[in-house]
Amino acid sequence: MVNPFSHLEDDKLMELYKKGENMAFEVIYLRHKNRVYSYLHKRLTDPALIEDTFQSIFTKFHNSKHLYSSKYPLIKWVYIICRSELIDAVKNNKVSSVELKEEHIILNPKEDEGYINLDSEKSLSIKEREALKLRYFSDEDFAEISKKLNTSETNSRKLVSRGLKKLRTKFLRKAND
Amino acid sequence: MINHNKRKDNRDFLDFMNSEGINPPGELNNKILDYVKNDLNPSHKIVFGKLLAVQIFIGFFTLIFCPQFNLSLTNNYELFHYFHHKFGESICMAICGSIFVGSGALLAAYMLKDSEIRKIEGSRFLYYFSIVSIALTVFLLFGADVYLNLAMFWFIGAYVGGLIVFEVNRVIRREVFNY
Repeated sequence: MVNPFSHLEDDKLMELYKKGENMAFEVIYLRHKNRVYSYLHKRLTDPALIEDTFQSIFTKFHNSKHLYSSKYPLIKWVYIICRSELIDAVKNNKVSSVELKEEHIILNPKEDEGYINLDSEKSLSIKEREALKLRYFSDEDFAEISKKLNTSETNSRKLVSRGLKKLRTKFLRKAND
Repeated sequence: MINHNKRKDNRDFLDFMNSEGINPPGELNNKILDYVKNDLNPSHKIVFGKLLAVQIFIGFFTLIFCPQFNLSLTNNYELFHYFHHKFGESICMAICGSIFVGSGALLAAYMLKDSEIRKIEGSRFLYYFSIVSIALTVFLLFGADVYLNLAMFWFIGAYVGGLIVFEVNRVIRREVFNY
């Protein structure tokens, strides 16, 4: 059976859903479920925990539907719930680190285009490579980087900036060629 | 640091937007869709049970200060005497009925889920007719002095009062408290 609301925008669907229209929720769910599930899959490793968190996201979404304001896009609302439930799940289950699985990036062609493999960048020194990884892959700040590389904060800034400069020069040269 | 966190959040949101391709298991989809479907359309049995439970709780509480058919928990007849002297016997019974059922309706209008409120809204006359009838039967069973002529006024007061209080507070809940 074709859902009569499948052509509607998210905010219209939310209006109907708030009025108790179950089919409007179905469209919203089908529209966003893969994004939410894939996002969780990148950050959690335990399949049971992924399913539990996924379920709690949509339960919370359902229970707090009256708090949604059409001033903001629905996708942002979904993201906020998703993130807060993910943080709760990580805290409650004592997950030590939130993991980004590499195969998901490589398998995804959109992301693959912008992927830079720092390990194959021979122009970078070991410390520059490590500093760039910590800064951009692990989202560490300079204080944390300096601790991990056993150097000063100023030096860690220099390492990142030098590394970036080298990469920029290389890619610009490549583009000009 | 604030900028760094902001950047981190933006990157996370972009990553969320670009996350696609992995489908949740079909069983999980059905579980969530069924849960929402049942929650949006609760059964009359459950909704009536909840409404009755709220009514029993709050009705019992009102017996502390407002006796019904000479049935009181504290022998506090001040309010009863006030209404009795001010409006006469019949109106007093109607007011007592509306206090008894109206207070339950007031609480129910804020405590129940919106889907349950909608369910009551669809059959509100039948719901409150049943609630008032049950209340009257319970008073009889507890040995209250229920006389037909006064019970009629009580019934009308409770029924109309319950419906009005429920309806007004349902609208306030939706328009003012937005849930």
